[in-house]
Amino acid sequence: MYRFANPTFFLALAGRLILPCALLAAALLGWGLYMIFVLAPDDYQQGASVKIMYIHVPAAWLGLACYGLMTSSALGSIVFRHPLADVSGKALAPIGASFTFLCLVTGALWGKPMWGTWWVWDARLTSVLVLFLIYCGIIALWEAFDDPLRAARPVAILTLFGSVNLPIVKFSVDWWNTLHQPASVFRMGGSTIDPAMLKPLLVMAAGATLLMLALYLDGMRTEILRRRVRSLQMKQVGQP
Amino acid sequence: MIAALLATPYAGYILSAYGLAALITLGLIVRAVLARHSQLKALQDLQNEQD
Repeated sequence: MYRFANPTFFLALAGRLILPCALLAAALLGWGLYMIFVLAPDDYQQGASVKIMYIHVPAAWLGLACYGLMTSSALGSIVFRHPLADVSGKALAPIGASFTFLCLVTGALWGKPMWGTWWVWDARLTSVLVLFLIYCGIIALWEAFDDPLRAARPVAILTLFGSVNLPIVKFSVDWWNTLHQPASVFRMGGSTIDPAMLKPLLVMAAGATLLMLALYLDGMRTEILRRRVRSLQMKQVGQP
Repeated sequence: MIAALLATPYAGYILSAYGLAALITLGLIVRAVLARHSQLKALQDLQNEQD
């Protein structure tokens, strides 16, 4: 485990993993799109608008998954003070924010024809909006400090506070009456989605996860490089 | 396939959703490539200055 936390070992490992992840992601997303637009049937009630689900749901899962990973990184940053944990959190924030934004907009695009409105202030939609705002706050806090080492601790604390929102997002549809439907894939008693729609959904989710992983590893590699450049620049001007 | 999709009343919503997904994906990839390129260039410039 400690071997993976060594930046030199991590850089070598990431360099080997990024391209295979990206290629596999492209293949899975291409296959997923073929399944969606050629093989998957329309919904008997929602018609073709159900095709928005194949982007909306993976984007929602990844918005939450990125924040979950950021919470682990924040714990690693506060408990172990490991610089790779800070780098991990910083690389994840824009990726998670992008997926959450995509989830919100595709949700509105799906909601308008099905619910008759772009937006309602129900618990699920509002908690996902709060998640997006927390992401924006974390990115702003990273950018507010010149020295990333000084930013790491306040960002980690904000990230841990923000993680309270994760179970609220997940269980909001069970705890409150919402216009948003309850969970239909990961639920007790199994999925309620027809296999003809579930398969393309899982393929798209796998492709999007691999894309996220490739972007995450590349983001970490770039951030390590940025810190190395910064420390060389500091040495040049004679600052510690 | 595309003609059948465009004939549905939801075509605008579906195309907007997939278009936005493509734009965001492309944006993330371009951002990653540019960031890496600029850092590699900065590192190379620093090493050249030291030499």
